[in-house]
This record gives sequence, C-alpha cells and structure tokens, in this order.
Amino acid sequence: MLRMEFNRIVTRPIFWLIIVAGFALALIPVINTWPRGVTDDYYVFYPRNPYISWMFFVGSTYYIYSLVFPLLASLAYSDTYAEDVNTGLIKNILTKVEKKKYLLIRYTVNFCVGGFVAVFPLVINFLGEMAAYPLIENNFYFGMNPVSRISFWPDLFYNYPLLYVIVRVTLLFLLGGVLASLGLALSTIVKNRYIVLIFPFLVVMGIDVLTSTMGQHSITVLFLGIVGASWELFIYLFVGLIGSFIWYYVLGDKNETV
Amino acid sequence: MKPYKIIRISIKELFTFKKIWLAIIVYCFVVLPSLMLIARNGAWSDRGIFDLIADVGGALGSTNHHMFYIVAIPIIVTIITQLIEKHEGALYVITFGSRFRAWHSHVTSVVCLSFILTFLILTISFLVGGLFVGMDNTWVHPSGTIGKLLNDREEFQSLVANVTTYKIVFSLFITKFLGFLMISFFALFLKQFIKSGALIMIILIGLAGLDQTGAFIPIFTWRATLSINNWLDPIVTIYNSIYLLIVSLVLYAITGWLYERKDFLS
Repeated sequence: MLRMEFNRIVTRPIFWLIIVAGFALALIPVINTWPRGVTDDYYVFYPRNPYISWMFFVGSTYYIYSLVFPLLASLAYSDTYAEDVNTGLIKNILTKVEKKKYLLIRYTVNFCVGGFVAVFPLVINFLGEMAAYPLIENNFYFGMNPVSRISFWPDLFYNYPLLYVIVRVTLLFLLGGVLASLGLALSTIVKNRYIVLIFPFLVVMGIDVLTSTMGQHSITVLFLGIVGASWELFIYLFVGLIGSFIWYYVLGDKNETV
Repeated sequence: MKPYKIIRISIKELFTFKKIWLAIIVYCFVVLPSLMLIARNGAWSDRGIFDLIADVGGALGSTNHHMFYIVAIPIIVTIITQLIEKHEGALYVITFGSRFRAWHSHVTSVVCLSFILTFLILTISFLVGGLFVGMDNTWVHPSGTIGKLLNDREEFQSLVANVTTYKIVFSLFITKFLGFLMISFFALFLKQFIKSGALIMIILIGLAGLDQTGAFIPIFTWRATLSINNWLDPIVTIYNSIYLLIVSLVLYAITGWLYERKDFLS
C-alpha cells in the first residue's frame, strides 16, 4: 500500500503546484539577498553566513509563508480519505488491505507529506543561502545576532548553528504533520474536501487570535517566530499529534465503508 | 426569465448553505471580539470604540487588515466555492436561459454576500465594541488617539471634522463593502481556472500578506483598510474606494467574458 500511496502523491497536480510555490517562496529571498558587487574586504567588515541570511530570520517572503503555512501543510494530501470515501475507492482498497492498516498507513503518509511540504521552502532557502554565503561561525558581537538572549535557544544558535537549523526545521515538520493530520481527522466526519483542507488554517487562526487576546504567544509566533522556547511548543505538538490520531483512528475505524 | 426573478433566485441560493452560515456567525462572534481585545492592548491614549474597530495603524481592529485574512477571505472563498460547485452546470444555465443571465446571478450573489458580510462584521463590531468601551467617539477629543498622535492642538482642531462619527461609519462601510466585493470577484475569477478552493484561498491570503509586508505598493486588501493617513487626508479613502471599484469592475468584465465561453457540459 505504501507504493500505491507514493504513486498517488507524485501524480497529484496540487502536490507539484505546492512544490513550485515552495520554490518561489524560497528562492525570491535568495535572489534578493544574493551578494552583488562586493569585494573580499566586504566580508571582513560585514560578515554574513547562511544561518543569519536564512529566510526564517530575514526573508522577504517569510510573512506570506507563515500565513499560508497551515494551508500548505493540509493541501498536499489531507483530503485523500474524504476523496477515497466520496469516490468509493476506499472499497477497492479495503478488499486488499486491512482497515486498521489502511488507516495507519494513510495517517503516517499524510503526516510525512504535510510536514515535508510545509518545511520545503525553508530547506530550499537554506540551501540557496549556502550557495551564496560561506559557512562561517556565528558571532554575536559582530553583527550576526538575529537570535537574542531571550530568543529560542541562543546558545545552540551560536555554538551549533546547523543543529539549530535542524531543530527548527524538525519542529516545523512536526507542526506541518500535525496540521495535515487535523485535516485528515476532520475528514472522518466531514466529506466536503474544501472544508477539510481549510480546517487546519481556521484552527491555527482561531488559536492565534485567542492566545494573543490572552497576552500569550500565538502558535505562529511560537513556531515560526524567534521567541523563547517554552513548554507550550511541546504541548501543542503532543495534543495535536495524539488528539488527531485518536480522532482519526477511532472514527475512521467506526465509519462503515464497505 | 425576468431580472427580478434572477435576483430573487441568486439571494435564495446564497442562503442554501445554512450550516455554513451558522458556522460563519459563530466564527465571527469568537474572532472579531478577540481582534478588538488585541487592538485594545497597550493603550497609550483614551481608547474608544473606533480604536477597537479600525486601529490607526491599519492592521489591528475588527475591520482592518488582520480581519481580511482571518475572517473575510476564508468566509468569501468558502461561500463562493460552495456556490459555484453546487449550482454550476449545464442544467443551471438552461434554467436561466443564457450564460449571460447565469453569470449575472453569480454577480448578484457576490454583491449580496459582500453587503451581508459588511453588515454582519460592522454590527458585531459595534455591539461588542460598545460593550467593551462604550459608544463614545474618543477620536474627536484631544485625549483620543488622533489627538495624541498629532500632538498639535491646532492641527488636531483642523482635522477633527474628518473624524466625526458618521464620516467614520460611512468610510468603514464603503471601504469594507468594496474590499469584500473585490475579494469576491477575485475568487470568482480564479475559480474559472482553479478547481481547488483551498488553492484559491492560498493565493488570496498570499496577496493579502504581500500587501501587509509593504514590499510593493498595496494592490489588494490594504486598499480597503483605514489607517491614520485616511483620517488626515480623506481623499486617500476616496482614491482607494475608486481603485477597489475599478478592480472589481475589471474582474467582473473579464470573468463575464470568460464565462460566456465556458463549456458547462464537460
């Protein structure tokens, strides 16, 4: 079934459209910040590396990326369960695969695809910045200080910057996966594919607005901003992951499909 | 089919999605007060109802830029996508007798949708804002946001006529209505090429985000927001309204032209 899922992903036009959009979001900041007409001395006085040039800190398209992040995560694959049920394809699949296995594989694949599509622009942008700037060390006192002392794990950023990038990308991958899973879980009760796809976006916007009202950091700021790390990050991921899985698995199993 | 019947059917179609409308009203009652509370935070002046509805920065408040991508775009795209997917087909065109009439039934629906949404958002904003801070227009007082921002008593006195209650309400209504109309026509236009409603939403939110970054001149929802510039120089509001109307009319003409050539059978 995994091979079938893979074939299905690569034949979905929407997946490739999101990848193209991801390339655009990632490469526009690279083109904007590409070094032009600089001498060797330039880097002595104004050192710059891919870590501080990464769109996560200075990207011109980053605001748009952070706005559409939940939609990117859900759009790639979240509506497949609803699609299977609406078209009757699920009946064909379930004659060959056990239902619980189908639900598990669908959840895992959707989680991975959602996460991958969500972090794709960040990864491509970092690779683009690596092509533009040398991988020199970060120096807090020499103008390379996008992460302040009260931001997310500053020691990691200044001592092991590549690890910092990996941690941030991993957290966003998990958030993308959780958001995609929320859409998938909703499709067990709502068969309208459009509603399924925009549900994660509305959830994020709703929680963002409510948390901002209470004076707390919103999900978008926690994950896509550079505010200090807090337990909320892991609570959101844990609740989202477990909640969406139980919701999807229990209701999906109960749904009469054949 | 007589024109008034087309209008009646179009409005009736708009209200066929009862569950979606219920969800929209609940969503608005949760999100709009929250946006107002966010605008209330960090008060540095005598905050009145209009600070909560249309903050002078242009982004905060229940009718400013954040409202567009949190409330307006999702609602408009949802309704229009459902409307097109449910009603559009060969039978639909046959019922109306021509593509021209079928297209104008959609146009009537989006005009009504824009009007209803404007009315809904403003009504909730005034009701909730009135409960939070009262109905007093503090912008006409020197201790209000405009007076504090200008910090010049003479200049403030010369501008106070621009911020009278009825002028603010009128500006709010016109800019929101035209903003929603432009978004609706944009969604209708994109729907001619893009099947996925979620993708249309990504494009529209991306455009709204691009406006907010200020990287280019505002072309989309920022034109429908009200900031301090609109109150200092009311001609800006008129220019923006004309811009929104022209964009809506251009999209109406182009989409209508495309609609005349659309194949409803395949």
